[in-house]
Order: sequence, then structure tokens, then C-alpha cells
Amino acid sequence: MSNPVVGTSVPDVRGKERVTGTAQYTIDLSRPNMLVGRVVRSTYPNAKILSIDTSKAESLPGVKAVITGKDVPEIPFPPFLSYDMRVLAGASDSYVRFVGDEVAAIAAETEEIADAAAKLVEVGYQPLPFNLDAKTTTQPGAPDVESSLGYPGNVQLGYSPLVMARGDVDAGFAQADVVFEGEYQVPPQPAASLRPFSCLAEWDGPNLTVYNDSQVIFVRQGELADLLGIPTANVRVVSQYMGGGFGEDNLYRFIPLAAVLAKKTSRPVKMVMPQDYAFEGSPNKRHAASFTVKLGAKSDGTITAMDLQATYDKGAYLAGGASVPYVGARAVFNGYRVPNMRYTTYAVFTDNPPAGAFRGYGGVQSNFAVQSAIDDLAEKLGMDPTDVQYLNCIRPDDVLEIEGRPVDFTQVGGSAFMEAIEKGKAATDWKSRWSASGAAGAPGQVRTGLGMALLTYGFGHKPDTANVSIYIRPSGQVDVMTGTADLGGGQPTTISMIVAEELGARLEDVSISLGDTNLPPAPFLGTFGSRTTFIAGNAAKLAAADARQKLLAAAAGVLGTTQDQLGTSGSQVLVNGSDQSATFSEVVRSLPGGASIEGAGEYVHTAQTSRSGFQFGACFAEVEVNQWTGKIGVKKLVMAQDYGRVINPRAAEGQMQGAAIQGLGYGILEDYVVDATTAQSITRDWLYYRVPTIMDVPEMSSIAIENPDPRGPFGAKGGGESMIICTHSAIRNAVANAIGVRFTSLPITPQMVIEALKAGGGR
Amino acid sequence: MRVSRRGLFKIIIGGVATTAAGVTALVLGTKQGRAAFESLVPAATPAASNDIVMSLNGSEVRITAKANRTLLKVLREDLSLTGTKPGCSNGECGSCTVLLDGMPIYSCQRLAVEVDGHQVTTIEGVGSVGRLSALQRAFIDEGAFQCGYCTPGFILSATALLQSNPNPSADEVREGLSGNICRCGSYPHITNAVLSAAKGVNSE
Repeated sequence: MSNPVVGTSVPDVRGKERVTGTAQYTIDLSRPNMLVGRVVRSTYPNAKILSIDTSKAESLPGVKAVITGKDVPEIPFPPFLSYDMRVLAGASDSYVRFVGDEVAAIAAETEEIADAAAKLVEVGYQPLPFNLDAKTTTQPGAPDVESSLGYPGNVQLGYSPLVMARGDVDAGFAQADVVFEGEYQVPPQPAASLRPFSCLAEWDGPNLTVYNDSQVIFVRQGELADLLGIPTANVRVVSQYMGGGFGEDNLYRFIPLAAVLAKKTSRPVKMVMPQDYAFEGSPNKRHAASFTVKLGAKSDGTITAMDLQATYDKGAYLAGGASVPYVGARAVFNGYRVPNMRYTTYAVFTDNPPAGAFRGYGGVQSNFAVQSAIDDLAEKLGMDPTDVQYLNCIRPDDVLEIEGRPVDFTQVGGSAFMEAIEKGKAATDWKSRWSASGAAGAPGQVRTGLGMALLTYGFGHKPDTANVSIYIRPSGQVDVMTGTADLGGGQPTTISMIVAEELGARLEDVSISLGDTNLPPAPFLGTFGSRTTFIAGNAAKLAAADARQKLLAAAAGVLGTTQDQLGTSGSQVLVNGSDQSATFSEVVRSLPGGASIEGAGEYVHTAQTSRSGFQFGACFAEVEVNQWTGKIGVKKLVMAQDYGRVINPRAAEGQMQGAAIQGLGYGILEDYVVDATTAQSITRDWLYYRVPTIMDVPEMSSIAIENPDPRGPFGAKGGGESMIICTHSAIRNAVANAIGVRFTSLPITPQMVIEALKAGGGR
Repeated sequence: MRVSRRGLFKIIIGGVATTAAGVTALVLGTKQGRAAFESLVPAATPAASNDIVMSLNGSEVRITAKANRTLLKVLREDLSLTGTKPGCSNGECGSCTVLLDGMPIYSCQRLAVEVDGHQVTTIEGVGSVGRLSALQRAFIDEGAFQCGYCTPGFILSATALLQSNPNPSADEVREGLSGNICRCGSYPHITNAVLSAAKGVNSE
């Protein structure tokens, strides 16, 4: 190709709308005659609803509808992963199970009236004992979280426990010269996106249209149709620009509530959730989890056995994160060539708000336990942790049994661990700077440390399909139609680039429509799990190839030659070995009747394993720890990640940086605190729940490794999540290197540093 | 009252401490800054609607608003200028940043009555799809956003920064943008964009 698009840094194709404020997010939409929706939420973590009196709210002038559990279908929700919630509590299932559980909803003329009406809904609760501690929730006598929903003993089905194993763990420990045991735990993490959660629902006769910031529009379409008892064809879901994302939009009950209110009032309803919903009630925080890890190793660092136990706190419902613990276990199993491994997972219910999907789904938690433990083992062995990692990680040509099948990594783009370790060490000058007692750097009270962590992650999952349609118009414009959401990870640009490259079109001639269930579904499951480049990208490439074939057939007539003599470049069809050419426009205009050339592509996900492919990478961190103030300054982060093939380098770099910055937040800043007596969150805004600002950002070096996955479009792998999986672990290990304190929980706050040093934990 | 740029300038010079410290106090919402600012604001009638005249993106705009109505709500709901994004609505995140007499402020923390007689710039006044400012162009070229929700706020903070300091260092850029949160973590590219815009403007 004479003018390659793939592999060059291309500005976001919808960038102009974003920088001018003309990009319309859901919260920016309004309709004439629109009502404002509000939700009344439980203030108790566990209670029986004795009565709901809506009469005062209903009699407030300007209130148009108040609905409770009896007004909404009682079918299980969400009809996607778990089916274990109701849209509203209060009908036959009269329990609330977490602070923020939805109880009633209101539609009113103005925000002020809706807010006032919400306060007038009188709910009689009988408070019940509750338990926020995942460690005790399965013990006899613990409050029953899920009794009416069929999870005996507060345990998720299939996780009592789930055991994954290979080899003989006992024999592995018998071979070990050194055995290390440790306990680790990680807190919940809300996504804390800035845009308030909102949706707009409007009916036109039997047809419902819902606008929302959604990653999963096709699933939501089916969900709404099921719930409202109407054909799927009558439901349209639109998600044009998403504020944030990060998985938090997998499941929301305020959306069907808006649809029910709009139906009841025959007016459009815009539901806007309060800002603290991002912190409390939003059922998609990262799961809190605790781990015990036992490692056995030869004195040369070869790990002979790994035995892990994990407990994931589901909160009160499975909600949108049923498979989080499984993915967490997988992310450890797929990382190491250790012959004897056992990973035992418990997933339990508590009266905490439901945990769900957040970038790095499942892998973030187990990564902390295992990457900390391997670092701790290296110290015990008196070895450089990079040597222990290098010795035990999956190698490029390894064959690993995954889900009962041997997976030959050479067929899926190889394992990039060794390359990532080498590049990370070079970028941090590890060889000359690292020592077991800290890194060369600032002297005195401020200690410098270097640390690192590996990550592996399965992106995408099956069954999933993607469809993309392409139209080459008489004007020469190439229209790409696909339902994928614009999550902010550069999805529309990536797909446009793949189309331009395959078709031989100029990128500026490509225009993309997306984020609407009226368009071909891609990926059907949604824009999550780092799948869009791989799954929708493959469909886009197939569609472009199909359109190109038809274009060449038409061009052969125009140019008086045969198809095999033709090529495409720069939106032109070129005759090989001659200066004869025709523009795409000229070719299409030669067709009778003003037709366009159409191309269609369908990609059906047929990977052997449940995940589409495998990500590998490493994060290296340099920190300075002030032993007087306890402040941890992250000075540098080096991210080395295998993208297979980078489609858009600057966007890929942005994903590595953004994910690492969120991981930095989880490591040392973001402290989600719940009051144990009321179960209410204390950290319910961005002042108390401190996400990274620009002042927290260190020097960052992003290294994209390119080992093409032969199944990906142009060799590309998915990779938008990866760096959030290991950055917190790398920072923890760097802190350990700096001051000799091996923290076992997050976030590592200045107070924790000072207390640990006071207790004599340092060196 | 006809609001002209010159007139506004006189009001500012006359009413607020003109030292850098005074301006900082105003921006940070300290007691002194607040008092200085309030001396400019005509007494509002709490229950009734108040007539407000402001210079909005260079044009005179007359509105009526209740005393408890924020500038953010007036911009978005009464004037349909939805480029100003509501985030925390609590003065923490910077999404709703606009310029008040050239200084970045959180519009969720400013009552509409407070801007009577003043000059307000929103993202719609910075540039348009067909006529981007150098900074907007740099944000696109450097990939300085992901979801883009916080972007208008960042661009206004950065616009004010470059007006007061046309040639900032990377540290000065970070300092100037420390009141805006980007949850996607586009910060490194944002810093690049502001530096590149400064370089571009200065070389013109």
C-alpha cells in the first residue's frame, strides 16, 4: 500500500465535536414537553419494606407519575449476566439489599419538583441486621443477603469454591527450597466518571427510543424489550458520545424506569442521577477481594508450586460482574509456566452495593496478590524480582492448557512477557540502579525505589459477532455503518482506519456512523473487554474487502482492463504498471441508477478459548517515598504492552497512559470508605474520593510491543484495559524496594507509610 | 446597561484588587476574593427573578434568573449552551469551567446574579467546528482527550493560562490545569497539547 493508514498516528475522527463542546452526551439532550425523572433509593443496607406511601408525592403540583415495585414488571433483571435483581424492590420481593437499592421513581415537570417529590415518598422500613464483611458472611448466623433469590449461604453459584488446578501442588511444594506465604487485599473502586448518569426515554406509539451513555446498546435493547414485553424491533437504543465508561455502564435500573415513566405519562422523560450515585448505589464498582498466596521455589528462583485462595465480595447482587472472579483466576493461570498450580475462588454476597464491571475486570485484584507475592518471594530468595519473573513467566512459544484445551501461544501472537521485562528494565536503567535495598536516587529521608509487575489478560469473549456495512457513494465518500459505541478509546477512528487501509481509501473520505441499534450490531455484546479493535475491526476489514472487490469489478469496465490488473490507493483505482486510474467517485458514478457500492462484513468469534486473545505486558515504577511525611511520589512509569499491531499509535499510547493513571489512583490515592455503622459511603464525591489530577502524573514512557496476532485485523490485539491491571502492583513493589515495607493492602496512604515505619517495618 | 469590553475592564480595575495576589484570591474563592467580588455584585432579590445583563461570548445577553440559580444552569438550560459540562456540581472537578472576565471559574459555584455586568466566555465562544482555536486544534492533534467530557473545561482553563502566560513550562501547565479532573487520564497528552499550542502561537 503506497499510503499506509494503519500504524500512523491519526487524530480522533470525532475530535472537532469534542473540543468545541458540540458533542452531545446524553445529559445534553432535551425534548419539548420533557419531564424530569428521579429515583428514590434505600438508605438501609438490609431492610424489609413494610409500606410505601406515594400519596403526598403524587399530590404535589407538577408531579406526573410515581411508580413503585407494583408498577413495573417483576421479571428478573438484568437479562444479561445474572438475572438476580428486580427493577424496583417492593412488590412480591419486598427487601432492599444495599444502600442505594431502588425503591420508587418519579416523573415531574422540573428538577426542583422531582427532588421535592422524592422526599415526600414515605417508605416504611424494618431494618435488618447486615454484614459488610466478606470474610464472615458465609459463617453460621451471618445475615442472609440473598435468601429470596436462591443463593444459599451467601455464596455465588459455582463458587463454593471454584477450583482451577494443574499438576500436583503438594508435590510442587515438596520440591521447593523456599516457601513463601502472604495475605493481600484490595478495596472496591468506583469508576467515578465525571458525567452524571442519565438517560432520555421517549415513546412514539408502540416504539421506544432510549438515549444513554451505553457500551452495551444491543444488549440493552433486548433487555428493555424483555422487560416491557414488546418486540425488540420496537426498541431503539442510541449512545452517541459516552462520558467515561470503564465498564460502569453495564447495568442500570434507572433506564427501564425512565421508559416506564415515559410510557405512563406519554411524555419524554430524562432521568438524571445525583452525582453521588457514582460512588454509592452505582452497581458497578470493582470488587473488593482478599487473597492468601503460597509460593514454593527452588533456590534459583524456579517456582515449583503456587497455591492461591481468593474471596471476591459480590455485594448484594451478582449484577453485571458474575464472571469477575473467574477472570481473576484466569489472569494468574495464563501468566506462569509453573507446573503445579491451584487457585481456589470464593465469591460471596454481603450487604455492600453490588460490585460489577470496571476496566480490568477481575484481573486487577488477583494481579495485586500474585505480583506482590512474587516480589516478596524474590526478596526472600535474595534475588532481583525481574529475574524471578523472567524465569517463570509464559514464554513466546509456550503451549498452555486453558479451559481444557492446549493453547499454542505462537498461534495467538505469542507471549510478550520476556520482551516487556527487557524493555522495562532498559527504560528504567534497572541493571545499574536497582538493588535489594532501594534504587540509586534521592538520599536521606526521601528514598527511591524501583518495582515492576507483569500482567496478562484475556480480551473479548465468545459468543460474539460483529457486523459492519460499507457504502462507497457516487461522491466517493465511504460510509461505514456499525453499532459499536464510542467509548472514548478511539473506536470510531480505529475502525475508520482499518476500512481506509483495506479499501485503499483516503481516511478523510471515510465517515462513520455508530452507537445506534438501527445500525449493524458490532460487537453484539457491546464495547467492552478490550474487544472492539479485534472483533469489530475484523468485521470492518471483511466489509472493506468485500466493497473493494465490487469496486474493482466495476472499475475493470471503466478502465477497460481486468480486475487482476487493478489496485487501490488514495481513493483511486489504479491500473498496474500504467498511469491510468479512476477515482472511487468515477467508478461508482459509472454504475446505473446512481447506486452505491456496498460491502458487508460479519465476523463470528470462533476462538478456541472463551477469551478472544491474550494480552501481555509489564509496568515498571520508580517512586520516591518521604519517610517524614509518608508521601509517595511516583516519579516514573514505564508501560510495555503487546498490542499485536498498533493501529493508531497515539491512541494506543493514550490508552496505556490513561489505564496506568487509573491504576496509580487505585494504588496510592483512591480510598473508598464506608461507615461500618450505617453502611453509607463517606467518600461520595471527588473531594473525598481522590482520583488522580494532572499533578499526580509522573513521567511516563509507553512502549508498544508488536507481535502480530494472526487472527486480528492487521495483526492487532485488544488492549485498552491492560495497564490498569498491573500499575498498582508495580507501585506497591517500588515502595517496598524504597523503604523495605511490604504493604499488603491498598491504597498505600501517607498514614500507612508513617505507621509502618513507626512500627519498625522499614529497614 | 450596555456592556462593552472597555466598560467591563474599568469595572474590574475599579472593583477588584489588581495585584496578582488579589486575582488569585478571587479565583480560589477565598474570603478576601469573595468579598472583593461581592462588592461588584448588585444586591440580588432572593425569591424574585433578577434581571441580568452579561457579555456572553462577545454578545450582550439579557436574562432573568432566580437568585439561587447557578451560572451553569443558566448556560445549559436557559441558553442551551450545552458545551459547558456539569460534572460534580460541587466545585471539585472543573468540567463546568468557563471564563469570567478572562479568569477560569467553576460555573456550578457561581450564581447567575453574580455575573451581572461581567464578561463570560464558554467553549462555544472559543471556536467552532469550522473555526477551531489553536488550542482546540492542538488538543485534536495531540490526542488530548479520550471520552471528551472534561475537554471543554480543560480548554477554557488552558485558554486562560495561555492568555496570562503565553510561554508556560510543563510545570506551569500542570499548575494551571490542576483544577480540572480527567478520569480517562489524558493528562500527558493534554500537557503536550498546551505546550504545542503555545509554541505554535509564539512562532506565528
